[in-house]
Amino acid sequence: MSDKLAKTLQRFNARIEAGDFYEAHQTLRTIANRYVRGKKYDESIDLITYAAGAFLKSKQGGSGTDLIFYLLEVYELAETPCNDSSVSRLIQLLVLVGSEEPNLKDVATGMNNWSVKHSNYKFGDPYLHSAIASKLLEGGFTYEAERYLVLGTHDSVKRYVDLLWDWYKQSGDDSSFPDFISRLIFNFLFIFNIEYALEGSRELLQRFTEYKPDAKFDTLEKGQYQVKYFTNYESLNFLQLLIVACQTKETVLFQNLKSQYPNLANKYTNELQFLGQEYFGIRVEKPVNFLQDMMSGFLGGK
Amino acid sequence: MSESDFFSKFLTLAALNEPKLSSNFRKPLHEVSNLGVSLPPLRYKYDPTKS
Repeated sequence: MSDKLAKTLQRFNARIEAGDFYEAHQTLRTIANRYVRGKKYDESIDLITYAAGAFLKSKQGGSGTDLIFYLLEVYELAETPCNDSSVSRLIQLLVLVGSEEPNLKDVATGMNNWSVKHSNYKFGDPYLHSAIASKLLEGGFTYEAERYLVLGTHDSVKRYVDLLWDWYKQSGDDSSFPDFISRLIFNFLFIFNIEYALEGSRELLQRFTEYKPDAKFDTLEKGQYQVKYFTNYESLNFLQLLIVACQTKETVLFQNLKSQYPNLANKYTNELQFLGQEYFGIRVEKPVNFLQDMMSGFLGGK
Repeated sequence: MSESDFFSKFLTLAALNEPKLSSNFRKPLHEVSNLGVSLPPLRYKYDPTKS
């Protein structure tokens, strides 16, 4: 760090300590701008990161998040690659943002959009997702958090399990368990993550059988497959066999599964249609529009 | 066919061949380009402060 930068930070810290946040923010912006105009991106990134952290620690969410957006702008200008250090800088700041912060969701989206643009991940960086998910959960954005958990790290699977389990217990409806476990299974099957579909669902089933001793089951093991057959929960049987079917990619098993459980096949029409397409190559036929076909026939178009 | 018969026969058939996707299969996230269909919201609210 240059002497000049060290001096700037000293002045900045003094203002923060004095509670002179407005002044501190203005000064910092002016100096950071100067660095940016001089294309001294590394210095400006260090400076902005430091200041954003200081504001957030002093519960100055407005200034802190403003500087996070500024940091993302500088990342863009500097064409900062999405790597461990650039991502961990964002995560460090994100952790400090209060869960009540009004623009929490925008901060998360801004960070993720940057990582989408600068990484090979179409939906953004998994480590960043893991941090975003925790923050959004704290902020009460449950469904948004769920999406990030599915696209996160191994750690995210555990947190996804905990979320679904807590949520199930909060529901106050003991019979609703399949609604919760099915989310994890479908979401991971959708992105071809067999490992996490199995790991997460087994952990949830384990908790469920401990929590409800009247849920009678037998454990069956054949080949690589290990599943629990429940006497009273056909949805749990269906969902476990669905993973097995996807692993085999055998269309006939998939079709038999749907015929054995017509009510569930109906309940999960859209989900199964997608899986049918992706795992079994079952093409979805578009509904025929008779009139349109006739018209185009008459008019010679197609 | 009873459900338990179906269940056990299904597994037997599935296990005839090695699975195409093993139990630790994971498509790398940078190859994921489609997230599937979005699941309908649940009827239950989640309160993060209660857990």
